[in-house]
Amino acid sequence: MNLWNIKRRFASMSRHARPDREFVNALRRELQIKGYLSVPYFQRFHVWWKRALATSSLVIFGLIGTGTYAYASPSVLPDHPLYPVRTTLEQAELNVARGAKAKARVQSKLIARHLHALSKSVSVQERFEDEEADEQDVIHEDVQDVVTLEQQILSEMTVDKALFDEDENILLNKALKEQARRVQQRLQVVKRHRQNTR
Amino acid sequence: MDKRHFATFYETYVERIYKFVFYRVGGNKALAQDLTQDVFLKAFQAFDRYDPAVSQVSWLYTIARNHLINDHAKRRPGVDLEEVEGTMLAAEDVRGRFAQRHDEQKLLETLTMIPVEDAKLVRMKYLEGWSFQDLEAIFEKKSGALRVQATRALKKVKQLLRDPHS
Repeated sequence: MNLWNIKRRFASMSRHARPDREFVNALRRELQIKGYLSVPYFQRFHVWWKRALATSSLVIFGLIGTGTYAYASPSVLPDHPLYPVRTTLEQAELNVARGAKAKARVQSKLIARHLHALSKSVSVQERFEDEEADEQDVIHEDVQDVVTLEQQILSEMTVDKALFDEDENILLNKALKEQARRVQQRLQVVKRHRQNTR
Repeated sequence: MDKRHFATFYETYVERIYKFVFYRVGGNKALAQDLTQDVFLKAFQAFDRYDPAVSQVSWLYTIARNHLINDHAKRRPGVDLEEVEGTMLAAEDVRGRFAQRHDEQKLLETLTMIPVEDAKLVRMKYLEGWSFQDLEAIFEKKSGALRVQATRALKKVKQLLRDPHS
């Protein structure tokens, strides 16, 4: 047994000798009843608050971490368990944007990200499924064409300032929604193909 | 000292005082609880006489120790607590509590084979959870010196675990 082990054993024995929580609470209550403990509010609850704060911090950090991953990671696609979190966050981002112009910009950004994720998903799939190389090539080229086309359309929309004029907002929104629908459709095709080839 | 501060005092020291008593009453849980309660009642009664210049740990330790000596004198007249303190951990009922692991039992036995002050330091630091700063006032040594002493004591324990006849 080395020194570290000896200390660890002592710590383990020390834990066995801890007073029961009920005893500590009962003694505290008895001291309070006898008037020995006139505890200020913040002190009486400080232990409880500390625990509640630590637990809620952990939960909050966990949620923030999960949300950030779901929102930012290109690997979160419709077949991913965190995909509903991603869509919720994107919807929230869209709702927060004030005015049609801002909404259009957010929507453009989201579509661009969808396209990027789609493209990455296909390339990853291709890398790991060599035995299905022929089929993967076909689907990859197909999707890549769509991706390129949609990226071109989006960049034209962004560059063309006229599309961001107020009069054109409805047209722009429609176009973007159509693009989003097509991205989703392509994603479903890829997903189905992946399931079939497996 | 203002009695309103007693609540903080209680929260800070209740576990350490309980463990301190627990190991000195042969691991008797019910007795340890009764004595811990008495210690805090006594501490409260003397709290307004407590001089903040004196270490809280040292003050409370003295109350707990004196209370244990008085209680021990009542239960076993003629036997000094100092005499039995070193052998407490080897008592059957304490050993029974920690006997699930053979090495823990051996560790407790080995503690009775090192010098009394070393054993007391190891027990208070590692079993009862006092910090070296807390122990400065009790052992009247600097925390650095106590740290060195504790490490040496643990090395002795380690050596005795390897070869009990060394």
